[in-house]
Amino acid sequence: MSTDNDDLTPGLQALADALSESRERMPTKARLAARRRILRAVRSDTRWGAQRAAFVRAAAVFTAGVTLMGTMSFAAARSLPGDWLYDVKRGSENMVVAVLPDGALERSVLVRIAERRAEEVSRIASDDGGEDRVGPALERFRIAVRDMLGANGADGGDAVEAELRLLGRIREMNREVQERLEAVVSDVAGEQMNGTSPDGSGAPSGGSTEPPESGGPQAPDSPSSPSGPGPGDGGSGGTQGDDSGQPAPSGSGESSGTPQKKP
Amino acid sequence: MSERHIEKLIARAVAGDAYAFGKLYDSYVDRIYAYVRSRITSPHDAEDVTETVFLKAWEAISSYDDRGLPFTAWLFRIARNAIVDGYRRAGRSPQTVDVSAAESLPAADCVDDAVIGAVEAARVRGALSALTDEQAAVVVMRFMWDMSLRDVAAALGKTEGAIKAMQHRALRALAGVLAEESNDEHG
Repeated sequence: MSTDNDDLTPGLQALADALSESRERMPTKARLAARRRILRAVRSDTRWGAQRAAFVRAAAVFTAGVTLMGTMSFAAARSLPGDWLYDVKRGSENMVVAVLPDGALERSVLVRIAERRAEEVSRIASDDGGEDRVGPALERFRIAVRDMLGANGADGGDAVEAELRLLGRIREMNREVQERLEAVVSDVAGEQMNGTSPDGSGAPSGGSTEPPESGGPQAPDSPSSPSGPGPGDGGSGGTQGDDSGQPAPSGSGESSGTPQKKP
Repeated sequence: MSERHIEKLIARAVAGDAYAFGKLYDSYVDRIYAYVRSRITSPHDAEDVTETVFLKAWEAISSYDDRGLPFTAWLFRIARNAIVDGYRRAGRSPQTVDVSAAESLPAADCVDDAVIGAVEAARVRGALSALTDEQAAVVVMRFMWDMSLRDVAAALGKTEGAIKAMQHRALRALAGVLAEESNDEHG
């Protein structure tokens, strides 16, 4: 655990570890039943009427403003970790998520943000980003997926259906990231097998669409159009501006789908 | 869920957002339940008290100020009060045993990794009820909730040094209880 425990003897540390693993979870049925009762009580609480309405209105106005103004430039949207505009991009995402009051809308924005993180991973990997760049990017992607999962507590209506769609989308994104990383790895491996030059002039020659002589593992040039088979939800995948309030720049630029491999 | 996301949910819940409060419930219910279970042996009673904790948290959330107390510490205080209230209503006092004898055992030496490894999670949890209220609180917050010494100190209104000492005593007492149980079984 943390450095707070540095002075624990091995025996006590083992006990502390056993304790952290012995945490008992509330049975699912009881947890959900309690959740329903609590939310019913919370919703019937009249203290918040005016305040809640004001909050929702302010959030809606802000969201609309963000959408109209496009939030950020195309350059910021395309920025990668390490670029100075990247902080602008993350900041505007955080701002939008912070003010969204509605579960469904927030969820769709979080899905979009996770898609961006996935895209960043692929672009960094395609750009020959070392492990020091790919690793953190993957971690950011994982956090984005976790946030997205954290927002799955839909309260009404077709909650199950919405969650199934969300899980389908997550699976799809994971697969895309995996495929792209594998493609990059097999490209690099192919080059190393092919080139045999000890100095390994790193840059791939030309389009690199030529497979290695042995026809080793093929790098799918465009892995299964990501937005296409997206499960429902109005083709959530790469389409722009399908959800109001998304911080994505409207219009052409950012094809959220397949990042282009470096020529 | 990330720290940032939690902070955002808290801010929204403070502003009266029921949906955000629901998500906070999802994030914290297991922790609260784990603590309540360490003090209340009946799972059913523990579920009721856990629910009460969140209802009380909602009632008080408009007065929550994150600059004053970390949210987990704030929630813990509500849980502790709810447990005490639960006992008061039931006309009982919290279940504790005298662990002073166990504390005097050379616990850290006699309970080795193999023994600890063999102890099932349920037994570890069961042994928690042998601790004093404060010791259990420290152990649960530190090792089941992964809270820092500073946050635990804030929750209990004590200094970090005091919490560190208490944590040490609690673990030794717990090890002593487990060692005694183990000796009883094998001897």
